[in-house]
This record gives sequence, structure tokens and C-alpha cells, in this order.
Amino acid sequence: MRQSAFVFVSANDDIVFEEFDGDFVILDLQSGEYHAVEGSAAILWKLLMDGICPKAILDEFEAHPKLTVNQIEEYITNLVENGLIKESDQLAVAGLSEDDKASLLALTAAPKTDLFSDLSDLILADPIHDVDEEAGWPVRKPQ
Amino acid sequence: MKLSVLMPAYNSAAYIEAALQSLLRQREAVAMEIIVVNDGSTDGTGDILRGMARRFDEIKLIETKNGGVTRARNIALRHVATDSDLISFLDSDDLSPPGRFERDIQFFRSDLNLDLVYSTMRLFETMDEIQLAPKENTEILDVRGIHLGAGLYRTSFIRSLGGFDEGFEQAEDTDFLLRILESLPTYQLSDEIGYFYRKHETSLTQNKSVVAREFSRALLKSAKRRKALGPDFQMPQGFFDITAFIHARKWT
Repeated sequence: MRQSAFVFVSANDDIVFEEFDGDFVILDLQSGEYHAVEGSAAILWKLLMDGICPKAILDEFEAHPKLTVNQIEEYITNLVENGLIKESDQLAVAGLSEDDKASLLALTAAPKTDLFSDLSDLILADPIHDVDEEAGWPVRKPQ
Repeated sequence: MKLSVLMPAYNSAAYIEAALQSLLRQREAVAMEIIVVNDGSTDGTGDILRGMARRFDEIKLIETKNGGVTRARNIALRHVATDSDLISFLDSDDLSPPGRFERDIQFFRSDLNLDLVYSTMRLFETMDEIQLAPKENTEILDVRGIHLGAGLYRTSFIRSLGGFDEGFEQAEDTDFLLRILESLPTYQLSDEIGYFYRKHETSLTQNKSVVAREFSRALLKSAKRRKALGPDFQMPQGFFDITAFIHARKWT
């Protein structure tokens, strides 16, 4: 992870996310779990989804006043292990902007996402699933 | 007990009389007010509503400039009678099954602490014009999904929630249901059909990307509220049930 220069992407088509004023909601449409991503975690998630590779991000924490490389690497590793993102075969082209670097430097809290699994029945019943474009009727995802 | 049914209406001339009649056929079972907010309809909805309001004392018609379904729901809430005991919702293109309220009100009579009954809804395509119900042999789908109309609520409980969040373009019902769940209500789930939901091409829910985004926003707002409820807080489980996807040939 530390040296990865590859773009990371959503792990599969069931992982969808939306941004709201810098916060994110990540939905796993297969399991019905969702993650609320705020603060440091949201900034890191956005950079990863914008095509910034882990190496470029982690390099910024080598001499960070508040956070360590290990904390950030652990967070990104957790995203992978939780099935939210995966390494693609595409080398990252984009780099951190000066604004990105400044926002990383300003982080004070270790990143974490809040996982909610107790609404899976609502999420699996939700309108994101329930209208199939062709059938025009609710269709349950095959399990 | 007095029941208030809230109905926002926008350009629903083809359906709204059937919707209202499906409620009025239940007026023998319960004292009823039907609060209809005509949200600036530009088709014949207003004429139909004004005519029906003259014929039926149960219908309270409020006419507003178009401001969206969430605002219309809040306007309806503000017009609920002070002596209302129970509240439910019916969209202007849907139907209320016969006997629904008589059946579900019994739960409230026997449990004075009950906040809501949440029923199964039946999705359908074609209506029987006489029965005001899904036509025989039309495809149906029974599911306890996300719909305000699936619930019958104690009025004091609804008032304690503080109305609908008008920041939502859609999914205001999901946000409202999430706030209901976060309040840890006393509830009764029902496998009986409490709502007939008409599936048709002009449904609001057709715009999937907006719905998906608004739904996600409701989840994020819920997550933020839950920080105040502590790490051990658990939502009530089993409220929604999509395992009963049924009976229709295209799913079997």
C-alpha cells in the first residue's frame, strides 16, 4: 500500500457513494451496509476517488505535525479490506494540488468511517434498487 | 377516534377521485378528515377537488402555489384538526384498501402507548374501477417497503417529530421514517395490505439519480443525528421486508 502508485477505484458496481458538502455516504447495495464518511476520512476518500494514488497521499504524512503514515495507511487498507475500494491496473496520472496538500497538512484527527449495518432492510428495500429501468417494476437483486 | 389522512396533490386529475373515494368508503368505520393540498396543479385536479370538497364534509381542501411535495405535506400537517387522534397518508394516485383503517385502528384501541402500525403495501399497475383495488389478474407485488402511507400513526407522535425536512427534493419520506425509527417508537408491524401503490410511468420515483442521491442524503443526516444517540444505539429491526417479493410471473 505504502508505495502503490496505482489509482484505487470502487471495489465493484454495488459500492456507490455520494458527496454532500464534503461528507460522503458510501452504500453497499449488496449487503445493505452504509458508511458515513466525514472529516479526515472524507478528504482521503475524495482524493482516492479523484485518482490520487496512496503513495502520493502517504508521502504527505512523513513529516505531518499530527498524524502518522501508519494511521493513514491503516485507514486505506481498511477501505480495501472492507470491500469498498480496490487497486486498479491504471497508474495514477493526477498529483496532489497545493490546496490538497494544505488540506492534508491541516488534518488533526485520525480518519475513520462510521459503519451502519442495522438499516440493511431499509437500504435493500430502497428506491435505488426498486425500479428496474427495463422491467419498470421493483426487482430484487439476486443474492 | 378521529383520523386525519394527508394527501398532497399535483396534476393528478386521472387518479385523485378514485384515491379520495377509496378513503371515503371507510368513513363509516372512523371519523375522518381528508386534508388535500392542491400544490398548484395545472390540469383538472383543482376542479375535481373543489367539486368533491363541496360534496363531502370530510375533505378539507387547501390550495397553494406549486412548492413541491415536501412543503405540501407540511402544509397538510399544519391543518390537522386539534382533536385528531391518528394520522395517515395517501398519495393522490394511490388507493386505500377497504377495511384498512377499521382493522389497524384496533391496535391503537388496545394499546394506548402505541405510536404506529406499519403495514404491507401492494404495488399494482391496473385498477378495478368498481372495486377501487388492483384489477384481478393484474401483476402485483407485496412488500413492506418505504412509504409513509404504509403507516398509521398516533397524531401526538407525528407532531413530536417536527414535520418534514423541506431541504429534501425527494426522499423526505425516507428521512421522516428514519427519524421515526431513531425515536424508538412503540410499533406494530402488519402483514396485512394497508396500501395500494399504483406503479405508472409518470411516477415521481422515475428519476432514479435524484432519488438515489436524496436517499443517500437522508442516510447521512441520520448518521449525524445518531452520534448524539451513542454508540450502542440500534435501529428497530425487521421494519422493512422485501423477502415477500411474490406472485408476479416476472419474478418467479
